[in-house]
Amino acid sequence: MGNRGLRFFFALSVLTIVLLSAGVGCDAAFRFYIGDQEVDLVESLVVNGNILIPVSVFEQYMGAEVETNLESGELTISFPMFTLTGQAGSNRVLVNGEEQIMGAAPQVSRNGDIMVPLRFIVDLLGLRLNFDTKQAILYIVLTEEMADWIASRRESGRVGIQLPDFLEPDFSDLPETPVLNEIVFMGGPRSRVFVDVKGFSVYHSFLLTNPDRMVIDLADVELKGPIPTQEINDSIVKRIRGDRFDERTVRIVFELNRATDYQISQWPDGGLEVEFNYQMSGIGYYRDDQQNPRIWFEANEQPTFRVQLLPSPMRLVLDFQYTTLLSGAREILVSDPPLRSIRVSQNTPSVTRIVLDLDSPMIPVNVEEVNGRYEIILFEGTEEEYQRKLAQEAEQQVLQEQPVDFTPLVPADREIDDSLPLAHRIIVVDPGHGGSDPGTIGTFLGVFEKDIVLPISLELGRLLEENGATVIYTRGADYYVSHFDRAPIANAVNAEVLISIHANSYEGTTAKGVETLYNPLYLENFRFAQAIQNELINHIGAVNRGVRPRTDLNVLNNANMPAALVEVGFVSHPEEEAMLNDPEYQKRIAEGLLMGILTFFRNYR
Amino acid sequence: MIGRCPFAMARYKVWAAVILLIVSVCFLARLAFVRPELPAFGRQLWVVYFGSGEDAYLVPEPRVGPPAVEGRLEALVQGPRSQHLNPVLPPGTKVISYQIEGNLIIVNFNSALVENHPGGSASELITVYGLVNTLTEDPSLDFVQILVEGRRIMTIAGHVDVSQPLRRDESLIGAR
Repeated sequence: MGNRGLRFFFALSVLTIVLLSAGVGCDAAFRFYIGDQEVDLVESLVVNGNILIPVSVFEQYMGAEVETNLESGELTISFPMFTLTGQAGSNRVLVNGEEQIMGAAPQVSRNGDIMVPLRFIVDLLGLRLNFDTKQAILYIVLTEEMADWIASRRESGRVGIQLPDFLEPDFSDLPETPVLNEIVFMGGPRSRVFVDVKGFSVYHSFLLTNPDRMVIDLADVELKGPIPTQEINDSIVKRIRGDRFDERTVRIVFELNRATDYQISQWPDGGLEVEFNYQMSGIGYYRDDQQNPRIWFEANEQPTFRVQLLPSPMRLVLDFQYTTLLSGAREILVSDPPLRSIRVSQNTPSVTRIVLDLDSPMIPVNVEEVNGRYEIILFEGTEEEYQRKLAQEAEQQVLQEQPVDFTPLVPADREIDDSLPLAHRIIVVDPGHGGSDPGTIGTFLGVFEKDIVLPISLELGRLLEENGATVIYTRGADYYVSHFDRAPIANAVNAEVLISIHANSYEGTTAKGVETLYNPLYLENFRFAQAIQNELINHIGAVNRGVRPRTDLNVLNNANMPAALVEVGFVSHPEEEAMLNDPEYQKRIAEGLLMGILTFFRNYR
Repeated sequence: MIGRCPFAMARYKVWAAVILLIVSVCFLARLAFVRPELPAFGRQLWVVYFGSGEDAYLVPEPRVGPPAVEGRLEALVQGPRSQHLNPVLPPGTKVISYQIEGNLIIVNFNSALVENHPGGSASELITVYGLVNTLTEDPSLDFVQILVEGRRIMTIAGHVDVSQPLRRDESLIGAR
């Protein structure tokens, strides 16, 4: 019974997460429901009177098995009653192996989904599609059978965000009665302890004094064997022991140097993770050499604090999370305007609070570790004033630095053959990073990204010039240019396209391949990125990671022309790093990029 | 007799007060020291986002217990429990402090966030949105402003603009 209950609980929670996260921006002019569930339609299209919706909707809201391949445009939708296979661009589909014609052809959308005709699928499901014209609500009327099926898919976790298999706890493995396997001391500043219980148990925990100790009582838990006593003797825990307390209870005792609060979190399979508070003591105030006010304290590790600046009377409240104050509450009178006094106390068992009584605002900006104690550096003013001060300082610094000459080097006397495909086109080539910013660093050879992308860019520039283009580099050598200044360079020279060349990196050593990023605000950006991605993949045969719409990239966002950022490979992948470091491979990348640019100009310019 | 009466009443009152005091001390002590925990069935489940193995997506990892901002931040700093997932914050990253203003949370990191970042747009996106998506799981929070040592920064590794408050990005969440 526990099994089903848990699974349901799990699915329900995941669903809640989905629901919470749904309901963001909807472009559709109508609202769309499947049964009584509103669907967040990210995009919709009307082609020849057919409403097209993203195929992922059938997966997310109806539990269908959906497979799509954005490169080939192939798609498969499986419901219990039929399997449909089709292809973007063609209105002929196979339904259970038989050819049928849809009212409109599926198409790949800009958000990386495939749009399919809604009514065709609804008809196949034997359902009705209604439109309430008064309220502009489109809805699929579910049969009881269909609603039950969706509910069963939901229960098995098929609807909504899926936790991957390796994260879904294998409840079938959990024993009928929870079993305590062992107690593992993991250490760290919070003396982390893992109580390895398999299966869910009801537990109680409490602190006892004389001698100070923390107790966890586990109800109805089987012991795998006797629990050995562990001598710890760190700053918080002296000893951990455990035994059967009575017939129903197993008691684990943490003997402590001093009673201190703790947090227990349960793992999805029943294990308990115990962490004790950071230990904080001593507190003081002074002004440093630059007259910055500083508050210092002692602690076994730097705890995170929450900041609140409260008015009338004005005070700055710093709440140190998961922290026990060892030295007791106290108040320090300071009278160093705007600071009047500092109060420190244990606000809750897990929060130590420092309150600064003020005449005018003050905010903490940084924490430094000085001589084994932590010092909070304060700024006299508000957060906004601090950011403004920093911005002014940054401007001063820029003024003092040598300005970089952005004047494009256009060879005026160059004769250009008008028959060349890129004759008189102005193209800005942007090698990523540079100078003091090496970009990402290869995991095995230690290759710098800036040193890979520069030769690729220069070779691409040479090839573009051969084809008649005028090429301008955002950096033609190894020096630093802010990524924010690069689109403005392209804007200043009225470039027709901007291509930014980067190398990628990811945790681990398995990620590899090419991806091209673009700003989805304009269709031209997508076309440009798509052309570059496809031609580059065709030419160098790397793994295709597709094009990615991004609205937050500083190189692309301010460009007034089609722009794309191409990540030509992963330097965190051992073989790809070696290839990217090879001048021959770099040349082939440049050729692939040239083909992409040629394709774009041929088709869209 | 009449003279003793008030004294008797007073004695009664003293005893009542003492008993009341003992009861309330016991009650308070129980509140302070004994924390009965409920079984997991009735508990909330919340998620932290970490990087997937190869395709650089964000994957939700479940946590059991009452969700709180400091717990979410701590979970991000500690990293994933699953061996199949990658941390989103670079090694050595610490949260100095945080501040909540309406639906915006301002998180102040130490410089390891930038200095120890491996670079590359794939891993930068995972860092930024692992953080933003985990914190905006809290229904009261919609925006995240990243600070490094109190300073607003342009970017962590050169690609993603983090100078302004950031919104949740669902498109990076995947489990395939």
